[in-house]
Amino acid sequence: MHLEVEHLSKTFRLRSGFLGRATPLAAVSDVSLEVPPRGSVAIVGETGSGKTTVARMVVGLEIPTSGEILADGRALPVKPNLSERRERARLMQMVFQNPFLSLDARQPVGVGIAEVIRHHGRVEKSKIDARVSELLDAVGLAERLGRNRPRQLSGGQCQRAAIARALAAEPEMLVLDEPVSALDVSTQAQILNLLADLREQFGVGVLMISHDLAMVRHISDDVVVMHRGKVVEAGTVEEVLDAPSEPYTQQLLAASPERLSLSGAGE
Amino acid sequence: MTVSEFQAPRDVRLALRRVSTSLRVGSQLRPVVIEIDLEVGAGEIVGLVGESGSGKSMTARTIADALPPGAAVSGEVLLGGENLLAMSRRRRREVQPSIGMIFQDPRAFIDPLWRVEDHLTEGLRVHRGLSRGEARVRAIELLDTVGIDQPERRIHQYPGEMSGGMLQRVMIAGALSVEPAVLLADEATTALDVTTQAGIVRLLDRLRRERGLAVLFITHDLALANAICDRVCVMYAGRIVEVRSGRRIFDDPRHPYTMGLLAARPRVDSRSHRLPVIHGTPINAMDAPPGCAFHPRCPYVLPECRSQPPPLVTVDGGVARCFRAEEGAARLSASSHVGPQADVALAVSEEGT
Amino acid sequence: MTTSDPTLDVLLEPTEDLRHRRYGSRLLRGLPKVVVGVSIALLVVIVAAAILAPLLAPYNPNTPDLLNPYAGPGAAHLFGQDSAGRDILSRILYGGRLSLLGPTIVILIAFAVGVPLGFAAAYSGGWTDIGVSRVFDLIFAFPALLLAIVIVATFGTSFYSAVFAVTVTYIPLMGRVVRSACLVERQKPYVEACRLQGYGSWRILVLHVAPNIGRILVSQTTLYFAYALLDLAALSFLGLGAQPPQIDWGTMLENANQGVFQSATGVIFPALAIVLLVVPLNFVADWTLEYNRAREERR
Repeated sequence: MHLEVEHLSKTFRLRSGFLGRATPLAAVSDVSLEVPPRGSVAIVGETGSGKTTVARMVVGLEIPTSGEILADGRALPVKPNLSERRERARLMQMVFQNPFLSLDARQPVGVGIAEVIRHHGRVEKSKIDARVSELLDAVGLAERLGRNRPRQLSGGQCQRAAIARALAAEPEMLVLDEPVSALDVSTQAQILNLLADLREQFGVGVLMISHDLAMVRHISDDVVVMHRGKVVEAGTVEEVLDAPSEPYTQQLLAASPERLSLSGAGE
Repeated sequence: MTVSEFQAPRDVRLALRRVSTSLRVGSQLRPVVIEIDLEVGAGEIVGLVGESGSGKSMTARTIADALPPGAAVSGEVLLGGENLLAMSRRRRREVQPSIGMIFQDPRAFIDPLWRVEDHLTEGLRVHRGLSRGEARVRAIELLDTVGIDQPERRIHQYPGEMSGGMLQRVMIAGALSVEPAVLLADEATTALDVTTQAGIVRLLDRLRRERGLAVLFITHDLALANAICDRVCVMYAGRIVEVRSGRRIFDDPRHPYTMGLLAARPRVDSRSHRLPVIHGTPINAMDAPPGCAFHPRCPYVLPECRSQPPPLVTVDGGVARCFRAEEGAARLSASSHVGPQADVALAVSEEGT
Repeated sequence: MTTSDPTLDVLLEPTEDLRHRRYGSRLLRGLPKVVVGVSIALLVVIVAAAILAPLLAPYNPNTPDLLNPYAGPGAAHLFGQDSAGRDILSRILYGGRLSLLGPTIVILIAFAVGVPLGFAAAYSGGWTDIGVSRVFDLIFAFPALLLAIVIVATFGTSFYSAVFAVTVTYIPLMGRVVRSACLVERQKPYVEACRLQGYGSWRILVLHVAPNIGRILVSQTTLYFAYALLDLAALSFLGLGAQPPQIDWGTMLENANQGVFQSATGVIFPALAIVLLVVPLNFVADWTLEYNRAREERR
């Protein structure tokens, strides 16, 4: 699926007090980007950059103030009703930052995955259990773990389950909102490898939201840098990270721990 | 040799000697920190790095005297020579200002109903007996020291009006207000943006240079620790497994866990084909198997690793708790087993150094 | 703070203020199982005793013995006799029936009406929420007892009008708890994930949110049962609830009030009965919340 985001904007109206004036907050201003079929694009930025809001608008969790989102050239409805949401869910799925909170705490993870499969009605009832096992296997979870509830799994395992649930809808693109920032370093690497494998195996496109430039370098082909709601720089990963033209991007790179240098620090 | 014998800085402000902490789980006591030795001298930044279960947070809580009820601690926590663990409560309250502490979420520790001024002057008035006016002047100075602009204006603001980074600076100012000898920073920059983090870290660096503050910097980010610390201690399953000074921990790691941590992290500079993973997940001290706690996940495991606790071996610029500590990454990868662990071996040799 | 190990998470919760050592005793950290066990046992015993009153009561609770008013406890009358010489023990046993029936009806109706209203307010949002919340607020604005008196004055004093009065005040309480709990859940990513799929609001509510608030609901319901019991006893004490020959603990207290200096047993035993029900209920409500949460997270 070819995703095109055209001039997307979102302004929140923050009300102060009961009769206070509503102050507008421009979280996203005139953002355009594109994810080619099977492509991998990252939106990078710090807190308040608007990157998460863009992702949420793309999947339909926020209503844009203006702008369009096009899937294969067709504009997606701005205020989707239930069946429109379902259709969109078959095109793109989201994986959230906190693995424990993004799963229903009272539901065994396998049941949650089966529920998604049933909802989209693409698999015969009798074959649903088999499909759940396939998905668990694809994300590297032992089948018996499907009977566990989120709290009985580790963070990495939960995130795998969340990815399996996302894949259950057979989407053409995955939108990942800081998918590994809540996990340990060693687990992060495992999940990133998994994502790379899944991309090959299922042919899904990836839209990754992150603050971590190193991760973006590893997993994405193209990157969009956002700052205070606007796109500051965009291009391939090599272009932007090796030769950033914007001061903000340069600042971001200079601040990453590997490049950080304190005057006179060290031995 | 022990870790502390190796470290020996000139003016030791904080020292942990064979500190072990156990928590009450059900009716039993289970270890979370096992015999750690740590020293932080005046003007030094020492990093304590670990993932979840490593025991780094429990170490911080042991120093801060903030363990859950029923916990047991052995060993000594020496603050300027006095053992915190053996003190009376009253004495403990007296010396408390000598350890400044800053944590991950400043909003959890700063009363949102208090202005910045109230927060900063509390310590000064209670512990140093200053009057309101004197304390306010000092507070403005402190805000300036920590790099907050327009301190006379900021002093009247509420925490809710400030960003996370600024609030973290306020917290540092609060900790500094009573002139501590030691600063304990527990994941202090984890929740901050990378540019804000850089700012805070530079501030800490300046403070230790200008004031001789001894800083214990606890983090899960090995690259960050490497960038700012004079010495980095890596923890795994409740023990310190490697201590190195300078940049050596990055350039020449000697413990397989450290090597794995470094290899597993993507780099800003270059794309690796596939991230080498350390199979399995980090464990707590209480779940550690016999012998070396890391052995089930180690690609270079030897038979003795499974049964005997590995010794602390002196290496260039530090120590490492491994039977094979002297071999170094290049030799290890050449001699490693083939198989599922080959990922790690491959990456280590790709990294070269 | 979460770690990858659920066991450690339990130990680290609730988040502690690292600057202050916790000086409290172990008891305050959670209810020892003994206390909960005793509470449940007590509740079972009292409920059983009330149900089996006809079998257990030594006398007919309404048979007067005017020769021995306010008699103290003795071999024949274990708890003594009240102002009309009736056996207090028998009256306690029979009184328990109405004293327990009342709150049961209150809770059942408050649950049946309040919970759907709370759900509707939380989920439909907008005008439904505003409408429902304002009606609740209106009821909250009246002191419960005053409202009850008004209702009873309108419909006449009787056990059922007292129950009706108290129910009216409990519906919004239940509804508000449900609404708040639902709003909290609604913020969580798993609900957003459901919305993303295109699940309908009611489906999300019933299949996902409701099970997650179950624990809070059970705990609150238990607590409200205790409070409803107290409220109904208060109404009876004021003479606005059950009327003679009906017996409940509140009317017993009203009756014994006048002669308290002649015989304290008339006051002590009904009061004790109430306390022995309300306090254990509180412990059980607390336990439901704390212990089960820890168990869910640790398992």
